[in-house]
Amino acid sequence: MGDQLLKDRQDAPIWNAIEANNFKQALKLVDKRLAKKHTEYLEALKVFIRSRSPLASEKAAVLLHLEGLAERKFVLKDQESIELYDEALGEVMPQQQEGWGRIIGELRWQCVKARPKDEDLSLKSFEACLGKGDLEHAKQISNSLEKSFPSSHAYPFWNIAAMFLYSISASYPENQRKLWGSLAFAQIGKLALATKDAADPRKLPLRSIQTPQELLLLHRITEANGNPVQRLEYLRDPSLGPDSLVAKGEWQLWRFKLKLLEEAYLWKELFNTTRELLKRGRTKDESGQLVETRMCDWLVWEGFIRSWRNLDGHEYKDAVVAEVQAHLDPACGIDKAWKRNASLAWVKSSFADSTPFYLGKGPDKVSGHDRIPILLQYLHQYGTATTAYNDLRPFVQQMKPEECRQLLAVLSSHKVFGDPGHSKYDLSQAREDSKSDYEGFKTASKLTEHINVYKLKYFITSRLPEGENEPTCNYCFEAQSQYCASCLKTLAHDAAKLYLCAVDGGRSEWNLLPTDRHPADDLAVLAAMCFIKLSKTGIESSDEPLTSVETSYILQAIALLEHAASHSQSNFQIWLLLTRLYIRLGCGSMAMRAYENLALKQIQLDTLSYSLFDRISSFHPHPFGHVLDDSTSFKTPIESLRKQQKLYRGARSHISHNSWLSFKHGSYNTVFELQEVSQTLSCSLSSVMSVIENRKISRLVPSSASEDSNNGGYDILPPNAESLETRYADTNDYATFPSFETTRGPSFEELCRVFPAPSDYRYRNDLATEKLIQLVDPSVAIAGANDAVASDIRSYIESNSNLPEMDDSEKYLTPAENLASTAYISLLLIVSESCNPELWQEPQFQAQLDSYNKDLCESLEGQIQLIENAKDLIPAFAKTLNLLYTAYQVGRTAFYSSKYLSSRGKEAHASQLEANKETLDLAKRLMQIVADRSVVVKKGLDEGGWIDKVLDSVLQVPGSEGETESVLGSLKDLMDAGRLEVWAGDVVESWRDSVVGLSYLKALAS
Amino acid sequence: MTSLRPFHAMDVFKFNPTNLDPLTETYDLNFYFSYTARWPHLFDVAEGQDGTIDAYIMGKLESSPSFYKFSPHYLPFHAHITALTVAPHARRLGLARTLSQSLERSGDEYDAWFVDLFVRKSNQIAQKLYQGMGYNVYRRVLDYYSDDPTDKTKDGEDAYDMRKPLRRDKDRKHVRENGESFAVEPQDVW
Ligand SMILES: CC(C)(COP(=O)(O)OP(=O)(O)OC[C@H]1O[C@@H](n2cnc3c(N)ncnc32)[C@H](O)[C@@H]1OP(=O)(O)O)[C@@H](O)C(=O)NCCC(=O)NCCS
Repeated sequence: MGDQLLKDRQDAPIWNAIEANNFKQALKLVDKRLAKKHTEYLEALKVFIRSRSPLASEKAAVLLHLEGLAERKFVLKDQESIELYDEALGEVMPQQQEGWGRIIGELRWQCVKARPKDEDLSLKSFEACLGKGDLEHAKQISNSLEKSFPSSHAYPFWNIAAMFLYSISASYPENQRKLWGSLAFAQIGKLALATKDAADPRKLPLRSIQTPQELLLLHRITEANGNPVQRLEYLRDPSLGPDSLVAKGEWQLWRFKLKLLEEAYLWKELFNTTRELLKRGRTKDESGQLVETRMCDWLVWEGFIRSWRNLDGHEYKDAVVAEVQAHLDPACGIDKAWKRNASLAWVKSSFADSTPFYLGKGPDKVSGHDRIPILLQYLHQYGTATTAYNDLRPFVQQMKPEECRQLLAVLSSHKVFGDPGHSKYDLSQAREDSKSDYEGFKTASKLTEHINVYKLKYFITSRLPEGENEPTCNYCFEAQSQYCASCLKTLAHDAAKLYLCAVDGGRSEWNLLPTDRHPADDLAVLAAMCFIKLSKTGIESSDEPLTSVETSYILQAIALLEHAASHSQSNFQIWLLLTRLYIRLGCGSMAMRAYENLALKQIQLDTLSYSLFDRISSFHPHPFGHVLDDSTSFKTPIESLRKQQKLYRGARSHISHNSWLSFKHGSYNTVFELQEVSQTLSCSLSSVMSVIENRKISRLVPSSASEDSNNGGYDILPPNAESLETRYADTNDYATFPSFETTRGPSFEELCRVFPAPSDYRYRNDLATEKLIQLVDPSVAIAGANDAVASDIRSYIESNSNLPEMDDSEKYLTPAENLASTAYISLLLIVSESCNPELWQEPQFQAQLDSYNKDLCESLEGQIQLIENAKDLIPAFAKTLNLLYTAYQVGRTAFYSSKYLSSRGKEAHASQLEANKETLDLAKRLMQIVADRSVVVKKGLDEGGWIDKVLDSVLQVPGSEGETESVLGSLKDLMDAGRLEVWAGDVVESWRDSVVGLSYLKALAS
Repeated sequence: MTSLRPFHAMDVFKFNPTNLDPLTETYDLNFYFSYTARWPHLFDVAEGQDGTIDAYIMGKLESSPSFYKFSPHYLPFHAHITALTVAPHARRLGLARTLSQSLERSGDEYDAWFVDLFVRKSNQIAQKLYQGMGYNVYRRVLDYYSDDPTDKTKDGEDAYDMRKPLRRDKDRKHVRENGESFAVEPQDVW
């Protein structure tokens, strides 16, 4: 920094001292120079040096000085002084956006006001204000730029964009925001008019809209401040619409137009517009090129079909048929990406229309009235692509049960793509025979066709008729509870067998690059999905988890997916599923291994960290001790969380730098997109998770000295993030999980959740609990911060006058967390209200305090009972680990809370002292029972024989009439027995490693 | 279904289906945002059912900096494909071809000389794609990449710099025969 801010060679010794962190010396030197010559720069340098002092009094003095300058509207003469003051404020008030605008923003603006013609100064000041989110001054500076440089085309747009940015920022008063929004709207409207009224569109006046980005800004502002009719007018206008010179082919404008026409029910216009676009898309230019194929976008087809459906008259339908035919005509020459749209448009049209819909000529023509042949025709044409299933799913889910039954019959008869031949696959022969004998599944295209059929079969069979009390399976007519077990089992067996036959012989037979995924993968995924659904069909409690049907199916799913992963290292969907399943089984290190294979980086740490680290503190808080053959040692959970937090800190400067760059390059639309990202990342669910988990782990697991300095990463969150005013953005990526389910119901990610997903409700409560812990737990309490924390808790409770509803809390919490949540809320209320003498006189005070204490005791007792009643503890699955860790934390917090209240003496209400005794007693009992059970769980795993139990569970399903061979058991000849055994050993080691953390759950001495 | 739209900065939260593939690098946010800030019209997404990101292309239009003017490696105004990626589930549908054609069209519109890109020597699929569209290897950049995803034991891989002349290059001044044997160092490319 010294290099940039060094003004005079004589100042070099001062900077050297600063860089050496010798502030005392630096201050001495600067005073000496000031005594000789008093300059604004040296004055600023002195303030900067003082800001680096560790003394709070010095920092306070610096702040006072800076505030004084801003209040006096002091005009600084040189840029370096402002930079120094900016740095100084950063030292004394880090992360304080509001303070920055009031002080530095104001000083910068005063400079610009004094020297408006200094363009460089204005630009630097604008950049700084924008970067700090000080839109008040940013808009004043952009206004000054517009006035001072009237020959600039860009500055009026900067000014408009800055005003609009201000108008959409929640930090400013509502009436001001409205005002500036309307002003931006009026000004951009004028610029649009200038473009519209220009005599020659090639010679537009300086102050007019001239670029696609300016048009997008016009739409953004009109959308917020004007009305859709106005936007449509702009889009219809030849000088401003998507075909205008100014638009330069910006596709987004067409997208706007189609959407607005549809929303306004302007069906005729929508029909004509889309028809015209589709025609343009397939029309060659004079050089014989198709240059506008982009117009064959699926969105255009959708608009075309929807408008036809809303118009009366046969001619519309004829036009749709003709357009589809024209696109599918081989002579048309459009690329296959676009042709596929036309084929899908045909399927969509047929499903939309109840009257026969014919396509093609001659005897082969297919009638749209009969929907199955239409689906099958599409499947025939596009079955070699994985997307065929996704394309057809929306239509299959519209079909009636009878139609589904017919479709299933056709699919099962192998009429569509022939018999894959795997049922006849002979293991011993196959290795010697040429694989051409099995061409039904030995090419990627054939296999993909079969996989699409399997997915359709899965879709149909795993869906029971909706809304019936005792549903029967549509296909085998057996009564079912949730899924049809027998159909699923048949499908699982069939898919797993085809999968295992296909990969038999290894990857070398498939001509794949090492980075390619195996074409058979989705069969393994599909079979695993069947297993997971099957695991829900026979839940019966047993003393040992490994002897349950549920576990047997989960282990089968894992074993098959592991087999698949060994053939297809790059398939991230397999790793995502494996991470989830290992968590369920309580295998922390195996889950970590699967997660590491995702190789997440950068923003992916925000979107996918939840898949392992949500609730990691009640699953595997300690370092991973089990090292697998194929991996180096893993990062500890806390290291991983810190890596994630680094992302958020870096993102701030990336966003602010690029917002500025967007202004510079006239990319106004991007400015607003980045603003959205900035708001989202300022408090994403995942960032909140990283703080909560980090803090919980730090309390439990002894850390190294380097880790101690961290306070959990609170700096990445807005202050008091638990308050209801802070909105959390859910950026977690649930969609990348594989899912072949109906799009109308829960995705597979939801179906296979171990625990309720990350939620606003849980995290907000957790953050508030963290405040409570900060107040009461001596291991984390910050000296001197008690009053501030207590007041934060009070304002949280006040702002949450109806504290989170309990009614549906089980939707968000595990049973143990649900009980704990009641306890925490009661503790928050007790700690806050019993120490607030102002409330003591209120008539309801005692009754309320009693009820909080009652709730607290009930929930602690409930927690004790939950543990006492817990069966199947060994090996410890996720639900057991969650139970023990959660109970321990709540016990510990209740323990310290009572200690804290007792230590308050007269500051706490007298009646609370008595109540504390019961809490303390229950808290101790709870921690004791957790500690006892933890010992039992740990000891249980020390015994031998676990590997055999795992293998038995994979190969045999326990049942009421004795054990039956499992699906994988019947296919074991196709599995590698040696590998299976090694894997079972890893599973057991992983269990042993997982319970190491339980040794931290020790009862506390009073 | 094929549907294209401009990349939106918020898409960084949704691009895992393409970016979890080992041949697609995930960079820091600055990388994506600097493209949306400078060349928003050259950053396109192909959207699948329910808005999944099936593919995207990031491109730019520029020349080498002027101080490079007299270097033999100077590049005149051209379009560059910085990243092109298609999610594994959406491959072989023509999306990569469609997206790169749209960048070529922009290159023509802005009067660029050619479109170029770097591709790993081992990435035969991408090479096939570009060859099929009229691109040729212009030069080989030695150890351009610092790793080799097809072989974890290696810590570097060559790149092919592939090019396709645009309308402006009527005399095909900017293409070269046998570019594979024309090796340059990473510092020579810009
Ligand atoms: C390379 C990649 C972009 C191709 O995407 P794609 O959408 O599947 O490609 P397209 O469907 O548009 O294919 C166009 C042409 O490329 C060739 N091609 C594509 N994939 C091929 C494959 N697996 N094998 C042989 N040729 C292939 C074919 O000639 C194909 O035309 P055709 O299908 O009409 O025969 C994709 O595989 C990918 O994302 N790979 C990982 C990232 C990457 O390598 N990016 C390129 C970096 S420069």
